[in-house]
Amino acid sequence: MDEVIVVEKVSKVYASERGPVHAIDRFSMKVKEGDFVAIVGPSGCGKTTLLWGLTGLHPFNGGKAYILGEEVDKPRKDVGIIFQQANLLPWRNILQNVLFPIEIMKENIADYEERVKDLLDSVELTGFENHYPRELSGGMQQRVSIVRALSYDPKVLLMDEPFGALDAYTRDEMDTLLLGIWKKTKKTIAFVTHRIEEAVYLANKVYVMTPRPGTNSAVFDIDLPRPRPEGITMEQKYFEIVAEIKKRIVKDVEKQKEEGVYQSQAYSTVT
Amino acid sequence: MTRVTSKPWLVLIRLSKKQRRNFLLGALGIAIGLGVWLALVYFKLVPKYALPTPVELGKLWQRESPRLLYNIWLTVMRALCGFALGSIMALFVTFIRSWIPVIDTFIEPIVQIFKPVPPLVLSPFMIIWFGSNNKGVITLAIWGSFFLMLVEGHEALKATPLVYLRAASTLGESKLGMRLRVMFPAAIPHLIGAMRITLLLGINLVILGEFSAAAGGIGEIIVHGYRFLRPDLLFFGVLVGIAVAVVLDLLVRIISIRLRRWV
Ligand SMILES: Nc1ncnc2c1ncn2[C@@H]1O[C@H](COP(=O)(O)OP(=O)(O)O)[C@@H](O)[C@H]1O
Ligand SMILES: [Mg+2]
Repeated sequence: MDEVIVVEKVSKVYASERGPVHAIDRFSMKVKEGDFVAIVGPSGCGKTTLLWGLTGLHPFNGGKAYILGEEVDKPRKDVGIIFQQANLLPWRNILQNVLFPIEIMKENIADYEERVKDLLDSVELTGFENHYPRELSGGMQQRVSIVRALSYDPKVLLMDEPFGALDAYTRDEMDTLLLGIWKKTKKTIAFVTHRIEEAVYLANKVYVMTPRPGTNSAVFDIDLPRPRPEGITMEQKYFEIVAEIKKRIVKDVEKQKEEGVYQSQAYSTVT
Repeated sequence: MTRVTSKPWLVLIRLSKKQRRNFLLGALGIAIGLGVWLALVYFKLVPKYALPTPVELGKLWQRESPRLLYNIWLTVMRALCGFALGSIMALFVTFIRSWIPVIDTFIEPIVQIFKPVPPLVLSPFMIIWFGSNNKGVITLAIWGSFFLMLVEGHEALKATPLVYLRAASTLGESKLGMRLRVMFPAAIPHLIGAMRITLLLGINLVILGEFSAAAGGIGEIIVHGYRFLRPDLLFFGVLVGIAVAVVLDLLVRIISIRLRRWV
């Protein structure tokens, strides 16, 4: 199977007190097996809504979404999800947290302990198994949540601004760490962010969404060497790509303003 | 928070400087109370029937300790039974409410009506219906514990942070698992707080129930002392009532240190 995620003209309308909110309008994308795709767009354009649609818990109103050839209608064991907040359960220690999915899926915990310990090691958290989440920094917690999502070895990772709540330095470290994990595990990743620099650094392909209602604006193939060389983010080529995407987004906003359809994103929920 | 050790009771011995100071201050308070008591009785500042001397208390203990101990035991046993049964029933109902929305809608008005009723108002009924015995007094404590815990448990479950529910639901957590693995554990700190209040209410209700039930217990010691102008009995009953409440509360706190070490 080549196309792991297929999104076909999905739309989502929320009912709210201020009337219906068109969050996504006929957005489409395809992610190949082993690919790393980023989705960028201004805040409130429907990125989170798109990922939630792919979890199967908050279905789209229109269009279709497929993961590994099956239409998405419920949470799947071959999909791992990572949010902006680490969402660890504070009453479970780190080991219990990363084994949480295994418990839910009623698998035999013992079969996974080895694997989970290796994963913890790969994110430099060996020795923290018995700590509680409150004892860990934000970056460490997010690393735990990555291990939790990988614990049951899903083929697909959906990530929603996973490092958005971290400080700039930790964020860059996490980006590099994520690339390492991707290279080693060969997962298919759909990564949502509003930071274009991050998207270009990480992904092979960047989907740009228009401001709300989010729809396809453009797709950029990122032609930078793999693995990303040190200092790539200081190079001319990198800047040019970033600038090109930023220009595209500014143009989208201006176009909407000209047409008088641009809605201030002041009320957008940052989730 | 006090440090967590594998032996929770050690917190009583291993105290920090500040805790030791607080402890000394507390002891000083008690000593002053004792001093006032001695001054009152030995300088005859209050009439003889109002306060016993420590010697009188000692004699009371010498004469009647088996009977007194038995009555203390009655009260403690009743309070613990009422508290445990009431809380367990309330948590069970809380679980059902969270499971079936229709039942929640049905129960809510009942709770709203009975919650503000002071349980003590019902004590005559309890005693008429269930008798002047363990059953009547324990039922009173169950009643009070049940409604208190029902309200608190419901609040606690409703307050489960969305992010935890989310983390579990995206993993395909089942309805039962959501309750057992997420909602109830998340509610533990809240429930422990509620348990402490509930237990104290239980002790209160049992002693107050014993006032009118004539079925033994600390309450009856107090009533006896009052009715027959026995300051030694009266005073002993009050002191023991306080001590029981303090000790049981402390026990719950020590037990809960383990349960909420992650907070
Ligand atoms: N539950 C909801 N009810 C109503 N409107 C919502 C809801 N969730 C999101 N929205 C709106 O939908 C739009 C897209 O939101 P979201 O997907 O969170 O955007 P993003 O993740 O790109 O910032 C926003 O304008 C937001 O206000
Ligand atoms: Mg978002």
